[in-house]
Amino acid sequence: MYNKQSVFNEQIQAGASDLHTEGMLTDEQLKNTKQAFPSDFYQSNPFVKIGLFIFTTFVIFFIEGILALLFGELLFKGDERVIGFAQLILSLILFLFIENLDNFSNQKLYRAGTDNALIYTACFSLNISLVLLFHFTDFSIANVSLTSLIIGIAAWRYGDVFLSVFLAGSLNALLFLILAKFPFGKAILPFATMLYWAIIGLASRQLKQNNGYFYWHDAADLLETVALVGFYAGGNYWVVRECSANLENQYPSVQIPFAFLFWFFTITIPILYLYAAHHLRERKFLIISLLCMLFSIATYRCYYSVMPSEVALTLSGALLIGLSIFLIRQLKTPKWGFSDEAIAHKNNLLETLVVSQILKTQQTPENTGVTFGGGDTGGGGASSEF
Amino acid sequence: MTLKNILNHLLEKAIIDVPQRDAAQTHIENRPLSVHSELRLMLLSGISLFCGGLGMLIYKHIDTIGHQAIIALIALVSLVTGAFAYSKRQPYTDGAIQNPSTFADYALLLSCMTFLILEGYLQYQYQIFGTKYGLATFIPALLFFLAAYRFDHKGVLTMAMTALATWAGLTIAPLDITKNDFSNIHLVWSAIGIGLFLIAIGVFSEIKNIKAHFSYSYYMLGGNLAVIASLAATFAHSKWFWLIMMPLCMTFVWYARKTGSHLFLLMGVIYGYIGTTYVLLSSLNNASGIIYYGFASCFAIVLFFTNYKKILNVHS
Repeated sequence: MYNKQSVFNEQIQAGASDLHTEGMLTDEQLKNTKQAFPSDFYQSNPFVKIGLFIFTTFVIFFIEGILALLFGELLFKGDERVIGFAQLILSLILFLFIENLDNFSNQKLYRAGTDNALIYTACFSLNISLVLLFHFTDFSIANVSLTSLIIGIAAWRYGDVFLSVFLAGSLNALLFLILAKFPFGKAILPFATMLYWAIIGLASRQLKQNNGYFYWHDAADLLETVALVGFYAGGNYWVVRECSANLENQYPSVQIPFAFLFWFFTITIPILYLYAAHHLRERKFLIISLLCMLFSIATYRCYYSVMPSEVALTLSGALLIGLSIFLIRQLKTPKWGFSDEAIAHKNNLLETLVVSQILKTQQTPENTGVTFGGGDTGGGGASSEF
Repeated sequence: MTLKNILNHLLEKAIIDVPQRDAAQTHIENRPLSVHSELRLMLLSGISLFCGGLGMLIYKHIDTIGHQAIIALIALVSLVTGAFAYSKRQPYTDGAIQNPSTFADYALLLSCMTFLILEGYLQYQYQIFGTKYGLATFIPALLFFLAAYRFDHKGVLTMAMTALATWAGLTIAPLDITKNDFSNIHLVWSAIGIGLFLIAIGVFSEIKNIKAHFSYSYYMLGGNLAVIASLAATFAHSKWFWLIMMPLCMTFVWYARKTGSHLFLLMGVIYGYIGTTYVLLSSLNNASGIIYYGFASCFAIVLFFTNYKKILNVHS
């Protein structure tokens, strides 16, 4: 469990940096924020985190190796339950170590790579140990439920982003395993999957916006993105057709019932996401929508050959070039809730101008007590500049 | 937490006041979604799809009537986009140039890529350079270097470096770099040579302050090429190549410390660790020794990354 107050402060700082980047906070205010909401977590860089993650994982593997060297005679003679028991002890030690990480490290580690590696390996070895102890088969309902339970508890306790995604994935697998047991279940599988991801998506959106659950904010944010992909994949014609072929062992795959319905989903869901991006002004919907559109085109080409791939590549390339030139020209002045303004760098003057403009129209500068750089440049706004 | 909540928390601590909170709030609700980088990414993917398609198109339809038209089309695209980029050129300076035209840089990129397709095809079909294959790859390298410097274009610079590496029989693209056949000792030496040469140009540009912002690209591609070649040679030929690899890795770390580039820090540490481990362990045929070494060394690296700021005296 991480220190909740520090996680809270960390999030305030991150949000304040975003506000500062867009010119809504001054340098001074950002500095004050960092003082008012101090975070003692170890600050590093994504690349350092990758390094820490890789090498911590190696350290744990080598510790297992050393244990095997020391107690090998004992472990490999008996049945696999002995190994399972050893793994269980190891995972418990790992969890104990994670809980008391601050006592062992001179830095307070939060999503620093080291703690992530420890959490994942601890969950993994706990799962392995229970599989060995209870003789589960690889992909059985019992095993997947157990995995979900372990990951669920860990995701709840550590608010880890990847564990939450893994949890949603393994629950989806569980749904799949249960429904695939019945003929009726097989028929409603795609709809059940779509419903499942819709619930996950809406629930994580609620969680994300609730201030009280800030500890799980980042996990819910990523989960929402994954749910968008899952919802689309559940209704995608290619996914449904190939999955049902896989279930029935029919190769090559054959036409599926309700094909028109899945074609309808394949086409409309990306458009729905595009509308959501416009309506909610959220980047993730836009990106997921574009990726889904690409996948929909690939789905169509998979079953209906329209033209040879080199012609398709050239034409789609030319089309993309034309479309992006058209859009860049169109969005010189913001339209349809989108704009082509460069994402602000620190203290971007354009954004600063916009905000100072708003401030000016609503309040006189003397009252606000804030001085934005270049705030006295009147009118115009950003659009004509870019 | 939403930005709205964060603004309220800032208000509570009196970091901002009510009017600023309200103004920021209104701005957040009304600002349009910026699709600046998405559109540029789309344009770039369009260019690469288009060129990839053309590259396949001319070889697949080589015996049909239409292929003359395709070649004419490629030449036309290359000329028109090149002329467009040239017409939007800015006066040359040694520093970075911000081109006010949104599309000039992309047009130049498209022009260079189509030129490469065209040139490769002409050599393949008509042998315009005869059997002087070196010339066929050296000409684009030279041309791209000139264009990169004249138009201040990092993408074209990367293409120039790629062409230079191709001239020496190498692949330089980060993800394909291991596809080179480093069991050939001549190729190892040319890779190390080209890599060091590119690093040297980078150092030169920084010292003389001629396009100093290009130096990162030189270090990135040249450094990776030289380190991976010497690492592969340590495995395949002789452990003495470690003596070339290790100083390069230390230079990476030194450069990371100087510029704050954590990517170079990670690369230096990982390459250096792999090479050193190989040299140390290749003479050790003792399983338990390897495991104890692995534990101790990995643990040491974890400690290093946890305290690198203190060790390297970096301030973030």
